[in-house]
Amino acid sequence: MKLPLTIKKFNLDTVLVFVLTLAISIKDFLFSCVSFSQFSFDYQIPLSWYFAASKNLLPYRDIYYPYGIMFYFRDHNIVLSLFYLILMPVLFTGIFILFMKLWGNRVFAYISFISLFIFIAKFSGWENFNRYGIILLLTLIFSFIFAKKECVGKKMIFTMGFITGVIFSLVNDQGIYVLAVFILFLATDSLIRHSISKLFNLGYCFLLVRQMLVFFIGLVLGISPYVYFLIANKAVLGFINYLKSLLDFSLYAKTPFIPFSMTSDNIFTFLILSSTILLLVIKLASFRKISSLASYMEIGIVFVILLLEQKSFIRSISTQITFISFLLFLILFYEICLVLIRCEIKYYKIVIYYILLCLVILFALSLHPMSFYTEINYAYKGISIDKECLKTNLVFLSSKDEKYILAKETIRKDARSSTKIFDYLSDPIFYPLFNQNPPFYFTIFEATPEYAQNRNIEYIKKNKINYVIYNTDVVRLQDGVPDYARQNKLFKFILNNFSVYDKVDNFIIFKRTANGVWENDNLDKIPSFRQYILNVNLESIPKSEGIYKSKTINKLKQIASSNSINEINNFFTKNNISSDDKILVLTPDSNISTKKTEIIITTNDLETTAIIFNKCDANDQCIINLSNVPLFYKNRTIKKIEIDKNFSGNIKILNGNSPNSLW
Amino acid sequence: MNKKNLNKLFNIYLALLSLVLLNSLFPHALPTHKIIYFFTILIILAPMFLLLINLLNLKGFIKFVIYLGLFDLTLFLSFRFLRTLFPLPEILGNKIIGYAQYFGYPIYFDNLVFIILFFIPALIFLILFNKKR
Repeated sequence: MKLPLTIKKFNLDTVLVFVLTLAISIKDFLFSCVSFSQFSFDYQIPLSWYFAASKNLLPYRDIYYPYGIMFYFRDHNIVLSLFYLILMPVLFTGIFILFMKLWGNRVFAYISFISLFIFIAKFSGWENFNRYGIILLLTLIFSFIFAKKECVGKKMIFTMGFITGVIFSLVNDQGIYVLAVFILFLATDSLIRHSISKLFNLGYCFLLVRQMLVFFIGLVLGISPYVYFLIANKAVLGFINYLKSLLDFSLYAKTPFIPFSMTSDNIFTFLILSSTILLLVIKLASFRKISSLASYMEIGIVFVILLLEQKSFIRSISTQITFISFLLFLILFYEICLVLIRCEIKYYKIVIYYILLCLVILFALSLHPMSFYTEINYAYKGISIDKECLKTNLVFLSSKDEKYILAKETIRKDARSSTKIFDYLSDPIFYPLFNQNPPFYFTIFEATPEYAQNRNIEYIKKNKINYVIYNTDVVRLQDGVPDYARQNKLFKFILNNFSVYDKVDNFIIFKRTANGVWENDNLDKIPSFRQYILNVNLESIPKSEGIYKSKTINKLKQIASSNSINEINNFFTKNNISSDDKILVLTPDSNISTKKTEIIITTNDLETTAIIFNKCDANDQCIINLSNVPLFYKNRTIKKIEIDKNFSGNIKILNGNSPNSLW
Repeated sequence: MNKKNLNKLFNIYLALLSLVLLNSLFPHALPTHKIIYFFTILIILAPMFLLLINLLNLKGFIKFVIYLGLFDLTLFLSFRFLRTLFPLPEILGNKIIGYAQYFGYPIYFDNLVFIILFFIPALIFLILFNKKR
């Protein structure tokens, strides 16, 4: 028994899908203003980007924006608005056509499409679909092209390259994913169809290289208008730097993923992913060939999910990509359907089964919706919407959370002339509130590398910033890494050039002064902050520095070394040793029983600071650069060091400009 | 299994799916919500299990489940220990200190565990399938 072929001519269906989804896109884009439900860190960022776009700040040149110019300028440029407007209909129509091609049956294609549509409306949201739907549709199209022909023609490869180039220009990250998917298909096509031996055929390798070359010619052509745009806006260098900085992202934003992955969304994705990989292996083991359209689609989407899940290792995007897993499930069902037909299960029962399964996933699996907004106000706003929409959000903010407005008023009252502020990377909403252009890196993660800290310091100097707004919950808001570790250069600059002026709720307002927080017991105004910067927890840093950089510090001048802390302290008593450029090296001679080691340093002006860090193993060095400890942001004379009683081993003080590689 | 029995089994399966769907209309009605969630997942995956039983026979399928369970349990219990086997992340030239560098969490450990988690069921299947042949 075969699946009844019901598709004769489906042009009308395609047009219907296009028109309906276009209507939704128009309503969503032109007639709605998204009000953010809360003003947490994650929600303030898109709002600040809207503001930056309304101020005509250019990505890569003026502001860090990783998602491409189409999303950034969609409300301010008529061409990009039109692109954005037709994006959703194109994505849905493309997926619908491919469902028709896969199933060859109108009923199943419609069930698949409608359930996917409901899934996106209920859980993923249109904006999210508009972004990740690009890679999804392109993967399905590539699967179709590669599954259809054994050797894909030059024209087709060129077109794929060109489309990839255009996508890269408009939505950078999706363009990179599309490129990766194309390379995957090109490299694995022969493995899927034939065997690995074909890869060693010289003629075949030559063909692969030629196809790659044609693809890149198309890609370059697709990118060329974008390159012209970058040149015209003097943003080429910024764009190159942005591409280079992408590699740093995995270093500064990594948080543990596996221990926290047991959400219903992740479980759903994991199950579908495991089942598909298992099914592909079963097909390979049983039939030795997996070159059907469904298999190509499965391989492509598995690759996409694995690729996107790598972002989850940075920040979880499980909720954003469940619709891709759901589409994979729909393709998996096609395979189940083929088995059921072979077992002669009645057609109507298979239809009921499919509908029931889709409904169970939609309603019984407790998947989470993307709760970005509480309300969408439907009123015509047209292109260039965001000035009004932004205003709505700011009014909403002031009614919801007064502390932002109070902080703003406190600064306004004090400032006679300039009220330029710098938000310490956790509440960028202050920039729209003060109607001030934000710095290039205005969020905590992106501002982590040293080059980003330097750029923020430059922003503060160049704009003659007089006030810094510091959220005391900043450590909790991010990933538990304190500022003196994550952004020590910027933190040092602020503590040395600004002093505590006032506190509004959880915001400390710093005001520019000559000697920073270190003069006239300024820190005593906020004891909890004083406690925070004088009780330093360096966790793994000294241990890691000891492992990787013990050879580097050998070049530095040793000014004291002993196994007795008393001898070291005698040395401090006899000599005036300044804290500048001093490096403390501890080498335990036996294993320490406690997990942490603690030292307390007292200075001549009777200030003390505690430094806690993970213990080092016997004979391994722990390296602490004292210039990075907040108390020594200002040069002081060291009087005494107290060390954990559990520690026995060598204590060394080194002097000299710390090598560049040392933290 | 003959056609009649298969059809009967399929009818029962459809009835179970309908029950699961009905239950989802009253998500908090039953105190055993988590068990029902687990049951729902089993029901959805039932065709996969049947396929595996068909290919490996029942004994092979039970072995598959036991091996997979044991592997996942070992991975779960030794997660913290395995983490310590990886070197601490280095603070590189850009002086980047994020979660990994500060707390000493190996950067690519999660990726490795993630890939292993998805390919192990396939590997166990291949071993059992080839053994059966």
